[in-house]
Amino acid sequence: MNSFRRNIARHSVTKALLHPLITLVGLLSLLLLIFFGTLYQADHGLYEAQHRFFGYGLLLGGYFPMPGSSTVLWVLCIQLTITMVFVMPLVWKKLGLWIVHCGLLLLLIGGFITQTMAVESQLTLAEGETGHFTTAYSDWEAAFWKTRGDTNEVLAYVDRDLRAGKTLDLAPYPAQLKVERYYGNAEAFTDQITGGAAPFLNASGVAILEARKPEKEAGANAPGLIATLSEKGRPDRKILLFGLEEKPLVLKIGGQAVFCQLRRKHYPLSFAIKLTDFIRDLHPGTEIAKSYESYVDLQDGLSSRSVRIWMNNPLRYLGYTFFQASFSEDKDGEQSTLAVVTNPGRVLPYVSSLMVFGGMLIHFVIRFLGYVKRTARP
Amino acid sequence: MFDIRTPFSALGIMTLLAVSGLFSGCKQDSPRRYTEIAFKSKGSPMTALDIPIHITWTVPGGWIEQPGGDPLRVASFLAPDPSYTDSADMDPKALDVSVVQLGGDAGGVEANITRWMRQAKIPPSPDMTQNIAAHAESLSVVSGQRGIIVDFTGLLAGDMTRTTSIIGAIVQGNGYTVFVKAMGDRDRLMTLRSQILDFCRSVSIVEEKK
Repeated sequence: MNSFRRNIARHSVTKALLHPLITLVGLLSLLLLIFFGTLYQADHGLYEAQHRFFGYGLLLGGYFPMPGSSTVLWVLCIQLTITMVFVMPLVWKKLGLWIVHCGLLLLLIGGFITQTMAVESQLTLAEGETGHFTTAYSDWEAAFWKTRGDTNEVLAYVDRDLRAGKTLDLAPYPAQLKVERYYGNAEAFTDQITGGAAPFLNASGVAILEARKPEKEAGANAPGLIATLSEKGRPDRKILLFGLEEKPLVLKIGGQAVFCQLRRKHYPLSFAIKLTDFIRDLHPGTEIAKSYESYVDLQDGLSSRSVRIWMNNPLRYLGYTFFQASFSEDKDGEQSTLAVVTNPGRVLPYVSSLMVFGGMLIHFVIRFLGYVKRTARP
Repeated sequence: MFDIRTPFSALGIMTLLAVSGLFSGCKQDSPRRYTEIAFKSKGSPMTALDIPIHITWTVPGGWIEQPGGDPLRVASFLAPDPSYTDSADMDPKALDVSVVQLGGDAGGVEANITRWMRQAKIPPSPDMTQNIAAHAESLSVVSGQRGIIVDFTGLLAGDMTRTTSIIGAIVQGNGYTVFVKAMGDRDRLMTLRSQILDFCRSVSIVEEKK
């Protein structure tokens, strides 16, 4: 086994893969990406900066191809894995270094899990309201549902599926939806402009959509969709959905009423959160908030408990974390907004940091003991 | 020539491997199918009262229950023209019908008539409101409580291009007020007037014992 590892470690391909130049380029790239990403964020917003600099590749200044941070981190991850599997000696003297490397690998794995599986959403409630689902900040879905009492059975296609020319199957409804046009950000005009002639089925009288430049913050975009609904045995229907419509469009499909709406992606909760009280303290003599706190009832089945959520003291339940994020005020009173995060990799950075710290400590102690032993020799 | 043993070729291969992570990282979760509870109901205003009430009704044929969302509504319906009942199409001018319960006198009959007039874009005036309240047709719901019918279809909206109007009922009981309101196209309201009034009369308000 050891000779196999040794042979792999000495192989010219392994040496090339683990060349320090690659590590150096990778680390320098990360430095540049963070620097330029931070500058870019100031003008273009956090969302755009994340997508541009922390993806797989970009053109810096519009001309210079550069790997995105995901690519760089993958390269470093591959190097780290090869080093651990084939190169690092399996001796007790290197125990500390092994723990450090495992910690670093765990940090990269945690980053991958967060990138691919973490979900950030929000829940806005007025006092007395109960929330059963959270909504995304900037992801949208074309949702089709039928309602049974207070429960909706939803079929939803997320925004990346809403590409022009794509046909979406609406099973269990006997119909298909062909996307004609999808605007990531649009402006809507009512049918009064077209003299009352409504070319599309729409719940709010919208007849025209015009593309708009994406907003600085992706959450401020209002998408629009124009599509053809095909149902066997009847003429096609053209529908228009706009992201800011409050009312869903009602369609008859297969003889039953089906509601459809272009809306921020919903994430249903298996429990309910009721806002019982929201308290906002201001700094004396100012309108500047000193603190916000939400008192909520967490209702799960027959059990219910009261919880206080305030700055840096979130509610954690069933993998969800509810942070006090912001508040708003309208004619109906105050509303509290909770940021809701689910991240299966949430604990990994803490564990990896402890491992790196512990590994360095162990490595230092081993080296120190070796030094003491060497110097103690006559 | 391409030589894997040089660092830059190796970097190229690793970049390819890394970009392949793009595909492994793609979330294949569309279409999503889920059930959700639509109501974000505000704690019923009646819960603060000593005598909570339970409201039931009989829905006319062809009406469609609407999903929840408005915290004040007990129920919402779409009322299409009867000609659309067996049609494959949905009535684009279907009326929005709601049932709302509030505690006490909910500000009084005249204040609520004024509120409805504003919703129908009819410029309210104290004289007109008093006149509507004084001459409103009375109504008795199935459980015996009495109320009034509010019908704006005979009034012209301030903006002549608008055709939105309201037919509804206001029923006041012992510490509560129940509103049934049909809002939408004036012509459609007039067509469905008898259905709407039947629905208003079908309401049963039972005061629950503590």
